[in-house]
Amino acid sequence: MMSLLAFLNPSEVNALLLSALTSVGVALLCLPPGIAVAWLLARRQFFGKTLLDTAVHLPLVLPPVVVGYALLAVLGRNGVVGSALRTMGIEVAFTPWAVVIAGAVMAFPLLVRSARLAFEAVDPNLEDAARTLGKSALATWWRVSLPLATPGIAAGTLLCFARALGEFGATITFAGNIEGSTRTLPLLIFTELQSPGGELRVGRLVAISVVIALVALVLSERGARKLRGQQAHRSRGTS
Amino acid sequence: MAFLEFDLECDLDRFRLIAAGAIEGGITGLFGPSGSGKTTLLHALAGLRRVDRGTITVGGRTLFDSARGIDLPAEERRVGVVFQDGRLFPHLDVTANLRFGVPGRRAANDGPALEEVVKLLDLESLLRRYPTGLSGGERQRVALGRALLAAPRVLLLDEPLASLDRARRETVLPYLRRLPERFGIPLLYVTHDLAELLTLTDRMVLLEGGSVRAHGSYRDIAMADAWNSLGMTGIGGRVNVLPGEVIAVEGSLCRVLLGMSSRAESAAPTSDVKSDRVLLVAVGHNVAVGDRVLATIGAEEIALAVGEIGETSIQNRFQTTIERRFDHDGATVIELRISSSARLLVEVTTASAERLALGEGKSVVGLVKASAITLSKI
Repeated sequence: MMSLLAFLNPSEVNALLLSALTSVGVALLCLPPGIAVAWLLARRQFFGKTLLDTAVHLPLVLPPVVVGYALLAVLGRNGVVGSALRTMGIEVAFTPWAVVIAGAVMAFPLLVRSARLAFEAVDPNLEDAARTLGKSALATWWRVSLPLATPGIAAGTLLCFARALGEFGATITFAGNIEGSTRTLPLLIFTELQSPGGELRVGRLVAISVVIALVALVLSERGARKLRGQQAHRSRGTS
Repeated sequence: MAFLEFDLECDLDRFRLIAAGAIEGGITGLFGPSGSGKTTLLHALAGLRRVDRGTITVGGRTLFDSARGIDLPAEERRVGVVFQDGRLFPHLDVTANLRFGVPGRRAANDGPALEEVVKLLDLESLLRRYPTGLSGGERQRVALGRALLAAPRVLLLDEPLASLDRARRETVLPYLRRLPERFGIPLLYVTHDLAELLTLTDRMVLLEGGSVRAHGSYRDIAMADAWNSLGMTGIGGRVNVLPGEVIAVEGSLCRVLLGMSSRAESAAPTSDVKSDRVLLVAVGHNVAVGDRVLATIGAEEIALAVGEIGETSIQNRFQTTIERRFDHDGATVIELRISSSARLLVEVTTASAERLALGEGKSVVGLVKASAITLSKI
């Protein structure tokens, strides 16, 4: 890994590290609320459910630039929330935090979709069975629903990570393209393409992106197989 | 006083379930055709579905009382359930499934010990395996163990053997029989298979169209009018289940001495084919001398003869008298006394009954083919 970094120039190293850190940050940030929202949408009926469903999925259908602009309007220096934050000395737009927020908003629906399907696939009869065995609703969720939904949640988290890694439109609008601070891998590729003679470097960056994507894919496959494989392994020896 | 008492009403899509009953120790059957509301009643008792009105008490503890606004959630009822499909947790191995409902350290655990349940249900070899790798019978045994270990006050079984073939049922039934005695937990056993139920108990609640039609011992219920409407649904065929002991095996035939006999009694002469208390049975599966068995004979499989009869191919004859006769539109049920404790129900057409002048006190011979009897080991 270190030899690979030595092979890159400083701006490439910065972009790679920034992308990796912010994407991991996005995945971690999205996971708890993602699980909660997915479970609510899968198993509960409540007022405003359709609204929540629509709001969560909106970034999937909106152009990323529009999402970036909306974030700017809310969290920017003069935004509704942003100006209030500024009086407390907190600025979000055009910082690495903006990269994380833009990525989170864009990637959140992918995690929710996957986790929701996973929760929906959990047999409610098993939850009933857990209740008759003396487990409260919360204990049942923790010991039955969540573990059974884990493969789907894990797959969703990986999708979320990958989506954040590739995020471009919302990021460049809300976080800018600042070297060493908000210039992620996709933004660096875009920047290099603008400069004459950047094609060779672009090729290298593209190769790195492909490698990261492949590693993520292999890891997720292996994870899924491990989770599902336990059951395949279990089904052996059926009489 | 009854252990489990219920008197409740639930609105269903097709009809309203109105059921009242009382269950005591031991095994009680909840019997009725498909769609009669058996599973609904069971879910209502367990707290898995809404009940509109009524009361449910277990051992004097009120679980539900609409008038007093009491409705304990399923997890506080201590009503165990064994479902038809087992419902084992696929992500947990057998040991973790068994331990799932064991009351935590803070709660008083007066339930059976894990080792005891494992031993009773022969689960030792399964402990490290996962549910998807188990056969249907093994799965139901684990489900049974899991429910027991949650220390329930009463155990409801919802057609636990319905998904198993006959041979596999035989591997689970003996375990069920041992439960009430061993753990002192009353069992409510839901089924639409009368023969299976009678190998477990003769006490039952007859449910049809959402209401309790009869309640008591099978001997009385089978004679009641309520039973006849069951004939329409195809499950009302009356059945005899007689306990006995295998005293001889001869090729594909075996002899069963009827009665809750002791060994001493079985010393009676075994060569007397015509003895009223010995059944000759064609056996499909392995039995050995000394096995305690239940012999099941459909009431329609038995023929009655009056007067002197010559040699017949039918191997089993009971020389006896008619104890009771009941007529229900076109069909007649005759109850024969074949020993001090055993009775045999025989179904004939009313026309035949008239022709033979079958009446109480009349001397008759009951004839049963060896192949019409099925045996299950206890």
